[in-house]
Amino acid sequence: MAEEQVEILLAEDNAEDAEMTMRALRRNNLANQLHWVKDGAEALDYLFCRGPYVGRDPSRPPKLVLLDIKMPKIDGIEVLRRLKQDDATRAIPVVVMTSSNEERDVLESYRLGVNSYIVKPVQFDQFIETVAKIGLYWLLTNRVPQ
Amino acid sequence: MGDVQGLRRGEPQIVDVHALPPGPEVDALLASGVRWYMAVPMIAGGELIGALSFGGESAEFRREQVNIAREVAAQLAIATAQTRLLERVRAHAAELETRVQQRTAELQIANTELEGFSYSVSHDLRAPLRAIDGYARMLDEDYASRLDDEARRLIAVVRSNARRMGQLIDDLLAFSRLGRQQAVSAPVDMTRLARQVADELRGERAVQCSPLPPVNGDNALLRQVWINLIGNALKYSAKKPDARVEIGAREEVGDNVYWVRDNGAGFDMRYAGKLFGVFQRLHRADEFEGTGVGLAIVQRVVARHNGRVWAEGTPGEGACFFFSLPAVS
Repeated sequence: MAEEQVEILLAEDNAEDAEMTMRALRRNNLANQLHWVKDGAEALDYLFCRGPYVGRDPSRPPKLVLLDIKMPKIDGIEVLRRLKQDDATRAIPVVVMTSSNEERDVLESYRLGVNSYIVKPVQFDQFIETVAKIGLYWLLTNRVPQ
Repeated sequence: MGDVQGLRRGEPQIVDVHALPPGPEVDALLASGVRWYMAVPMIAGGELIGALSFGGESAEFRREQVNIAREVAAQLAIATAQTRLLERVRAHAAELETRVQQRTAELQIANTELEGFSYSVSHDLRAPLRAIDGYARMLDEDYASRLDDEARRLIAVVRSNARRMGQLIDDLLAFSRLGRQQAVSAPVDMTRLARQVADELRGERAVQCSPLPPVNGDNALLRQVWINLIGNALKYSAKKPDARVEIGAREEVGDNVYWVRDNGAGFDMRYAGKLFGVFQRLHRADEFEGTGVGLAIVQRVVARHNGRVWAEGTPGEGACFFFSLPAVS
């Protein structure tokens, strides 16, 4: 299966947040190779090439995972834990993007090795700007192992 | 046992063992040679709590014997009563201990629930708000050419209310976090703290700050008190051409009283009681921005430092906010 490389995996259960995130990325032409999953279980299936994603090439991980914390089935913290525990996926940059401003979530995310933790701004302008900055930095500025 | 009424009156009773209803106890008495016995009442606090009995072959009890028996019975009565009291006290203490443990457990549960509540407020209320603001904005952006001024005004109202609600949620969370936060107690240089805060907030404005006595308290929490009070003074006096904000303190017996005074909008003393309530405001949002949480935070922090807050004001002339904190001994 010839697939275009996915550059961003967006794990987000809230359809509106997902739409706004994609809109922000699209403004900077960063949304073309984005794959959206709606819960933690699907995110793990995608990243570990299991279930519906069994045919995916594990040697082509996304360049960035945008991870919401509060999601059905498996939450973002658990996704982060499994990603960072596994040698095959540890190097994938993970940016937690959440509504939670709770210190315990921040601490736990960093303890598990998150690359960045962003509290989603309530205001649209700030939200768009924040998402665009994240996209530009992780996709264009940051370098990951080949 | 003899006549109980007699015993109650404090009269020793002489009992003929043969006259008692037969049974193992009577057999035992007779076997040990007791044909007659005398029961001496044990009375404590006016109440018959038992009897001391002694006996033998004859029904004759010498006065001396009776006196000794009464003396012993009286002492025993006191000892028994005290033992009972002690047992009651112990039982009460144990019950209290159990109750305290129960309440503590209940409080812990309530606290955890509250934490869960504020967590879900922080998370779940923000997401729909972001969508309201975002989609209103998207409508504005994508359909700008087809919207007239009134449509754009309506969109702006939706967005400004979403923003305001976001601010309310943030403030409410900050307030609820205060309750959970562990306060530390260390010496705090109030002059430095107040001047730092004033410098951060004043912009081009002048704030007069007299030297202030130090206190013991939580630097971060007290900083928040100064931020809210100085911020308010600046906000409510901003429209005055000769606006003044002054910070000062006086030392009273056992207490330091700090104040922040401005010559701004002031308030009607009739509503002074409402000032420190959560979400209580004396001004409309279009006059002065705010959510009504700042002074509630001030009161909560000061109360946690065993202090008090109060205010004086005159409409149009200004306000003075006071808080007292225990002086450093």
